[in-house]
Amino acid sequence: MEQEITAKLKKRLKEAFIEAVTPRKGRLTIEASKESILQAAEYLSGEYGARLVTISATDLGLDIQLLYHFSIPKILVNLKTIVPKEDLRIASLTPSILGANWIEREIHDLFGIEFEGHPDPRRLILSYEWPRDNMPLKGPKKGLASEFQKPTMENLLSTGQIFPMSLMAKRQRVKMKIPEVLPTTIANPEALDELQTIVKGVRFDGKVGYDWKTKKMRY
Amino acid sequence: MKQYAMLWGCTVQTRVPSIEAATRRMLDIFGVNVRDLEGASCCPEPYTSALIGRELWYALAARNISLAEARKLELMTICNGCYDTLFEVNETLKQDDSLRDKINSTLLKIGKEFKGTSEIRHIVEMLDEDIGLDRIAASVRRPLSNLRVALHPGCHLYRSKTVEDYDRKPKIFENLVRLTGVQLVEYGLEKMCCGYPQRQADEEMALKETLATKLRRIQESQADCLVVVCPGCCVQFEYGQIELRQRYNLDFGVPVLHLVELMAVALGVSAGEIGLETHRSPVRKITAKLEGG
Repeated sequence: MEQEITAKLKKRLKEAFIEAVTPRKGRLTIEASKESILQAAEYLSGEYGARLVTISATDLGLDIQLLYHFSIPKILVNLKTIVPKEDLRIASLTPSILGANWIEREIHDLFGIEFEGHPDPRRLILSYEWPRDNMPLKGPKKGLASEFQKPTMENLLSTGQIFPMSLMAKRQRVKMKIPEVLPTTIANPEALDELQTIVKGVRFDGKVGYDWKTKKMRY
Repeated sequence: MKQYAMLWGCTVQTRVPSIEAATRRMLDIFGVNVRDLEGASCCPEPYTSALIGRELWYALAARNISLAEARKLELMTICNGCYDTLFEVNETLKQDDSLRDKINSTLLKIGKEFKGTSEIRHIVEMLDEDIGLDRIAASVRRPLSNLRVALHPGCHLYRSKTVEDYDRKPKIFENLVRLTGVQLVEYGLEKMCCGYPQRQADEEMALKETLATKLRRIQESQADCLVVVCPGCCVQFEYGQIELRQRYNLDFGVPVLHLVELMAVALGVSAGEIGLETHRSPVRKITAKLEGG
């Protein structure tokens, strides 16, 4: 059953499917992009009669992790997704799965996630006097790398080397009659592409909080 | 003689290129065939990536090693940090089948494979085993007998396959320095870390407690300069002295050289030719003693 669900969701979600893990018999965790969670949940519900047990939220520092726990006879399926703190929005399951109603409201209160399309997004746990910008279980945005480590990681992921090649260093090298630039990832786009493929393959970019567009850490 | 692929490392190519210039001149003198490792990345450095993402650390190091394996070359480095990473990853992946399979499944995506057929060599091993101390001694053109030198082998030079072998490379390092004719001075803290890795946790402690303590003892020993065998340590001693002066008003003025620079000068290469003036420590203070022999 675990393999069947994995295969079908993988086919259905395409690029949005990230990975499937089966820690033991009767347990399946499927990670997918946040844009695809509604589609995945509706599929599990419609195809397998899956019942939403609850939703767990965890502050990972840079992101909020959501785990949607679904019960199908003899198997528990967890849909996992990451909601970045820069954009705390995700589609609400409530219009399709009524049982998500109060759980999403609770998560909104405690973590500040906006469940788009929720029909009744009133506060559930917090009093109405509670400040709007204070989410009790959402901490400040922080990642694994210290301030000292950030430039090292940014340079490594963007150039393949941990120090930038300055104009002064190039001039010095020429004066010393050694190659202006070595045939490393700095001068070899294919080699750099290999390195970045590895970074993405082991999901280090997400773990360390690297933004490929800005070539900087997200924090 | 064996053929080597050289992984120069990030620090040498961008921050202390005089070490690369000196190495190339020295290897030319001894006729050692070294090819730059094409497509190499950072080793990667053994502090940040190894601590935050060990799988990435293994995979990138394995990729670098696979580049040398594909060319049927042994992989050489002049950096203790690169040596530490490459040595540990090479030995670990050779012994741990499941980890090697996991890393190779990642490398497969870029058409690479770690086979475990290459050895990692620190340059002091190559100088000792391939060229030999006798030949090096016979090649010295300018014995530096007026220079008083303190040594800093650096923590990662002690990385070895067996406990018994742990100080083999540091001893080679010391012997190579002796061949240049310098006077070695002891300061009692030779095995103490330079403090570079400590910066990850506490910069002030790394500078004031570790680096300054070593520099104070080196200064008291009346050494003319400090010789290291790791570009990372070199940067820590050089830039660290600048930071100690600017932040804490502690001025030591200790010139710092890499082993290969000292050797190149002793072999007859001029200080200007390898750009010793580009060092960030006051190497100019000892230029006369270096050039004068």
